[in-house]
Amino acid sequence: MGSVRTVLVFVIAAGLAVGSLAPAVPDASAQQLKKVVTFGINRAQENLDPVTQDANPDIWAFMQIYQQLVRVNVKGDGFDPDLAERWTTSADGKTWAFFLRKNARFSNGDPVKAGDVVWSLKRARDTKGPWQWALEAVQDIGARDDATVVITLREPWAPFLADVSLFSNSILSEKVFKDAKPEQISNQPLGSGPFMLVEWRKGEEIVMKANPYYYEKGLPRTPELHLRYIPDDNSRIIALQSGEIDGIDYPPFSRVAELRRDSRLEMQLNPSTAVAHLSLNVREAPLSNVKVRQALAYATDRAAIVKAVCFGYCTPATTFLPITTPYFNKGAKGYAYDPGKAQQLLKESGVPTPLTIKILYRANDAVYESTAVALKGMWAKIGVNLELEPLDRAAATQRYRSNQFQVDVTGWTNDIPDPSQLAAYELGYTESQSYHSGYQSKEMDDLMARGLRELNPDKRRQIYYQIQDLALRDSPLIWLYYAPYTIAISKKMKGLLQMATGPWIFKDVTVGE
Amino acid sequence: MGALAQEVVRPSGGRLHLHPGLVLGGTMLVLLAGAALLAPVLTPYDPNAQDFDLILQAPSLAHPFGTDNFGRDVLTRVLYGAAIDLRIGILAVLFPFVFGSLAGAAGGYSGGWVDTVVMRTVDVLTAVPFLVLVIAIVAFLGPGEVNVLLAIGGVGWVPYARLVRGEVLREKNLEYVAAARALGFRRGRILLGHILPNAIAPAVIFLASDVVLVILTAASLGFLGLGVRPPAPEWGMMIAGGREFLANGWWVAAMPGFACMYTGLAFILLGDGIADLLRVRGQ
Repeated sequence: MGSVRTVLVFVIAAGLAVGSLAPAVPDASAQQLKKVVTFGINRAQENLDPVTQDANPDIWAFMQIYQQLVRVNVKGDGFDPDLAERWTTSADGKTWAFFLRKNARFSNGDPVKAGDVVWSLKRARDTKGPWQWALEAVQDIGARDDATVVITLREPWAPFLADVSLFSNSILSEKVFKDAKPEQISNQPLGSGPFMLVEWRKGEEIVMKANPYYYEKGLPRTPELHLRYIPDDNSRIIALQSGEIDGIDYPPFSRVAELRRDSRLEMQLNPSTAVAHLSLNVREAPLSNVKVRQALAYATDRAAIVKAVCFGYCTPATTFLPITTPYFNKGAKGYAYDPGKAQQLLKESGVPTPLTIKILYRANDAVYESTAVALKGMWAKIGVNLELEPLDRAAATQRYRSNQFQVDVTGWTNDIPDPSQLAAYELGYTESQSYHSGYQSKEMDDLMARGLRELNPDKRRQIYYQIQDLALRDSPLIWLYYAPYTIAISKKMKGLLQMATGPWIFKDVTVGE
Repeated sequence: MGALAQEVVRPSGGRLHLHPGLVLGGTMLVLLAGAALLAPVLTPYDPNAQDFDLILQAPSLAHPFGTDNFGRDVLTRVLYGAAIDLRIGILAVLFPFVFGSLAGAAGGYSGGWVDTVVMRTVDVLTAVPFLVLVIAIVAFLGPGEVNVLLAIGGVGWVPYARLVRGEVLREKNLEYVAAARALGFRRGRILLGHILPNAIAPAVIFLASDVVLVILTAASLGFLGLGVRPPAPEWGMMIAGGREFLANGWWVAAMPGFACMYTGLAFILLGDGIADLLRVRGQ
């Protein structure tokens, strides 16, 4: 009996030992990773059609699903191959050939062929939407064979590669979408990127799974990605701190210091192309007078706005271009805060003081409201009575689009790593009436046209330096500050990248249990 | 609270003892009104003066309530804000009180179609929640103090009409009214001179608590961005603005919050006191 008991004890002990060892084996070889990565976002997606949408949350979401021929590198100053593994350009700069990688497949398993690229780019060029400018120089798009796309341009076009990298030039499956209704394209995106859409509960959550056919082997590293909409800043932060979600976008600047102190979190301030500015309506007096505009620019204490609005985490703006954009003029001084000079300019302008000016902004937007309140105090010092006009989002948009405003608080982020898009939008009348300011200048238009066609980088740089100087002189907009993107993630999350143009890159992301 | 309160204010020796709530509430209000009026003397700061070197300073001797994200002194803004919130609170109940009481009295005394018109209007306005209706009206008219007053006034008369109508219905069948009629007094004189003074007590009591409700409504509208325009130091707007800094500057939202609470308490105590006073007089 004694021996039987001994054997039994041994067996039980051995069983326990094996039982406790068994699950430990995979632990030792690879760290346990979460199967689902959840990221909290502050604005919900509405339309995932790359061609017709015009909002960052849409773009950043479908950039997980779609690919373009080339992609902007993470630093934002050059291009990496994406669907095209290489490309060539003719000596006159008018013919471009893109050679597609053979192993790229859509998430339904179909290979990506030149026909898909031709169909997608033609659709992007010909469908009415906010991004058609990106292919305006294109004369023709054709397929030489299944793996080669040839694009001919009407004239040499300096930012062409940047334009091709734009999200609106995403490659869709011709077979799936050729006869699709617009709702299908905006609600059921299907691409060749690292993730594919599996469920979209609007105003709540987007659920994506790894695209099993994605060409980069072993990527994405997480099987499932959820983008969860949590609009309230405090709720989003609490969800992160409680471990309910793994990361969040846009924690407000006021919370950055506190989140940095939290040992479980990593607070990122990522270089961006965000520029905050004021649009001045130059169609009517007194803002039609350039001296009044310059006076306001001198009366604006950008360093103080950075303190009050960004808690010191932004950089005062010196030109209209973001620091991260090619041809940003590091030597530009911008407008120093000089109330004396502002007063003198206001006197020279002949406009009687005290002068009442109205400032329009979106109500309930803490950043815009703080900016307007700070400006009211600053401009009062030179005899300008700034009246605040907070309006709800729809009303504010309607007012500034119909040019019924004097000063509008707004901002910008670049979509391509090139100064031409921003220049055309803020300083060109045809694109957007110079960001609705109504500014129109032949000198500026000529410079911008030259900037688009000049292929020599050094000469092009000089042109964009001139554009930056001229923009400051004419000041149809008052540029306030450059803001970084804010992201807070759990320290267990690794591999998240954010591009200077905004989109996150989730394909390398893992989260430890 | 009836039994307890009546015990406290029981008449003794033929003289009326003042309800402690009335004294306390009244004193608190006088102090608040005094602080609001004397704000420019009480504080050396301008409520809108910005100092970007003093952003989000914790309460100290120089700034007992701290400073906000523009370096503005929060105590100064709370004091100046008292004038705005008290003004809204008092102005926005005056019209509803007068109009609502008259409409209710007219309906209750005349009956017939006048009563039908008044009471059906009351029904319609009651069907929609008070705050929702006020928000809808302000959203339509646009933000601003005058529009807030108009919106609250347009909706707020309903409870007064109900209260006074009910009382008038009861009073109009009493003997003193029959006597007045027998003496040949005109309807207007009977209603305004005889019935209304006896029927107005519940409306007056409600008035005190309504001021609190209206201040809270104004604060809610300010919080939603529909009230007084920034940078005016209205308490609701200050709370909304300070919400962002709860973690690193709790005083920006908390101090105007305490001010709201203080004012609410003062008016409630005052209302209780008036209620007991009127009830004792009725006995």
